[in-house]
Amino acid sequence: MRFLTVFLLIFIMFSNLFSSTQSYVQPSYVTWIFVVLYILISIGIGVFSTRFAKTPEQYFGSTKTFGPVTVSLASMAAIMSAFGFIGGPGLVYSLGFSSIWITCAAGVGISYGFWIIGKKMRAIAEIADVATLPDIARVRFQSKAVQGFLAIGLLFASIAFLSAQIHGGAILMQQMLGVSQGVGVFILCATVLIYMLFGGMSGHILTNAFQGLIMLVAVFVCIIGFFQITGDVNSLEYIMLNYQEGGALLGNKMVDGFGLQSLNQVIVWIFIFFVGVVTQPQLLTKMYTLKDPKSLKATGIVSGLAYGVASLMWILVGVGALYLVTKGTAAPLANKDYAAFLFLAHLSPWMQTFVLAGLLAAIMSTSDLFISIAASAFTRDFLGSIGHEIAHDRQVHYGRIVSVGVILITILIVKLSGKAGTAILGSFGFGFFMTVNFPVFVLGMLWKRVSKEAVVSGLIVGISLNLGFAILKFFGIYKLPYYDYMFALAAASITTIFVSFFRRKTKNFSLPEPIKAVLDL
Amino acid sequence: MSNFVFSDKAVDNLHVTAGILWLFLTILLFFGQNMPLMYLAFLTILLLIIIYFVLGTMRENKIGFIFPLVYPILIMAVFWLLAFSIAMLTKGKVAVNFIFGMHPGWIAVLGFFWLGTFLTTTLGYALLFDTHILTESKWNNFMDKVSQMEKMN
Repeated sequence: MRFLTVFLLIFIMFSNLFSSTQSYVQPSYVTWIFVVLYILISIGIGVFSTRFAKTPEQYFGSTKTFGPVTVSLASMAAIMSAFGFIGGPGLVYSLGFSSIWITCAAGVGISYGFWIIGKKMRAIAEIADVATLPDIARVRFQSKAVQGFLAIGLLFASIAFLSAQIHGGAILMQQMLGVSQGVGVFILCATVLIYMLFGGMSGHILTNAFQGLIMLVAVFVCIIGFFQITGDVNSLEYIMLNYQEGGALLGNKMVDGFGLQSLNQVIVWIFIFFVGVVTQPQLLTKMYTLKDPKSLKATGIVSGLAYGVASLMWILVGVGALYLVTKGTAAPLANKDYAAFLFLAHLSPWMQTFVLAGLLAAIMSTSDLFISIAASAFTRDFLGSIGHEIAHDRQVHYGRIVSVGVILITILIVKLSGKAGTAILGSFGFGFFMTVNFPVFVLGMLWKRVSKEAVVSGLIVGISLNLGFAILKFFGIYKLPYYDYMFALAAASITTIFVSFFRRKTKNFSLPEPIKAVLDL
Repeated sequence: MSNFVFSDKAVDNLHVTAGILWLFLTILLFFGQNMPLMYLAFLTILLLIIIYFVLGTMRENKIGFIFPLVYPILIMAVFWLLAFSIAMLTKGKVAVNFIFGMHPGWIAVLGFFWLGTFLTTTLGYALLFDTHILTESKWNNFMDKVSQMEKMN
């Protein structure tokens, strides 16, 4: 209760930072009742999950606890975030089919990721008591420095990704409930905090499984809504022949294979979202929460399929909004993040409620994970790595305090980030995670030769470049011609590979036997 | 020729090749308006993906030729090449009365890129998991081995 009181007081100071924007959806009593019920069920699941979170390892990690259906639904729900459900349609609306590569790549990328490192991530939970990703990194490289630098990287990346959720959540709550964005974000964050404070990572996984189901229902409703709005299957051809911007016919460019985005950015998206999906904590953490290693098979497939189905929302909602504007039924949007709500405005109130609930589920299910990861990265991993380890029985307590702090910092960043949309913040967070996790978990699991010195060098390069480019861009000093995180990822990988390659070769690279057994699996 | 066997040096070389490809990619991406160079950039990411796929599927430096090298890895690569090439060739063109009013470039993305990767990587993962990815005996051997060792910190 103390945490929530402090959170409320500080939040009030920040809440007037948000400005109001246009409403597309008329809030109804049905929506309010639905939201209240949804929040109560989520909190109920959070309270129930306390039984799985008695130790810091269980609270932060839920290692070897759940079955494949729960984990698959939770993985899908956590990956398909505000970035997917609000940012995605916005990208389709503004750039045409460029971003379709993202959502197509991420779904099938899940099984690729499970294939290349899934069993090793699960196996490492058999040789050591691990709860967090930096824990695994410490065990793999026998180094607190790796643990510490990874924790710093995860902290920054979590806040970056969380800012996309808060940004999308602010817009959603305003549209859904008719409240100010500040109040909306407060309702959203308070709900997430309550069920996370009770259940930690277990609370996250169980509520996410429930939220995943809600999202799948929302997708089903969206499919029906799409055909109601467009009337037939030839809506793409209508857009192709009629869509104009500033008097110029652009329809053929919007719906071709690449859309309006430049080709180098599309190539970055293909790579980042196919390979990078496995480096997202939403998936990496799930690999070792599986009770039975055989469940890796079902989880890799079901998560990918569920994500594929959820992707329909990204595509159909974006195309639906584009169709409405092309037809002249709706005026062009000033802010692309409102594309989803423009689409929803043309559905019946009941359908709106189901889809809005799906959007809420997408945002909450991702937010809670990143709050948990940021809290554990600081409380358990970063402080532990610099010799200020918090007593075992106090870790959960301090983790809760840090959770509140992370939300407040994120809200401030959302305000500072100005006009950066949900998709831009989301893809920055996604790229940041890949930059820090790829050298540690992909290169580190696939190559025995990767040393702690190499990984620390890679992490320093990756974190510095991500932050450095963000600062240069913020002040208008320099902007790369393609996404910064791709450059940072490449530099981190190159550093890790070549520092590893040129180190002195020793027998078996001095790996402890249990680690060698994991890497040989 | 049922298996390819890689020496430790060959594995090192694959990683170093990947490092060089990473470097090459960062340079190519600066030329975003040049179509041939972007095709080269696409080939570079495809090669990187294949290299990590091969490294991730090999066990004790061995990889099966038909499974999983040809299926799913190389077949997936062919699907990607088809998808990207068709999308590039039809970029910006108007195509009326095509399948369900869809643009051929978009069909290529959906059919070859998404469905092609699904039929190879995702389906392959399901079909080969028990025989090529994590066999029961392999896991049991691992558990036997680690049960005789002390837990790590």
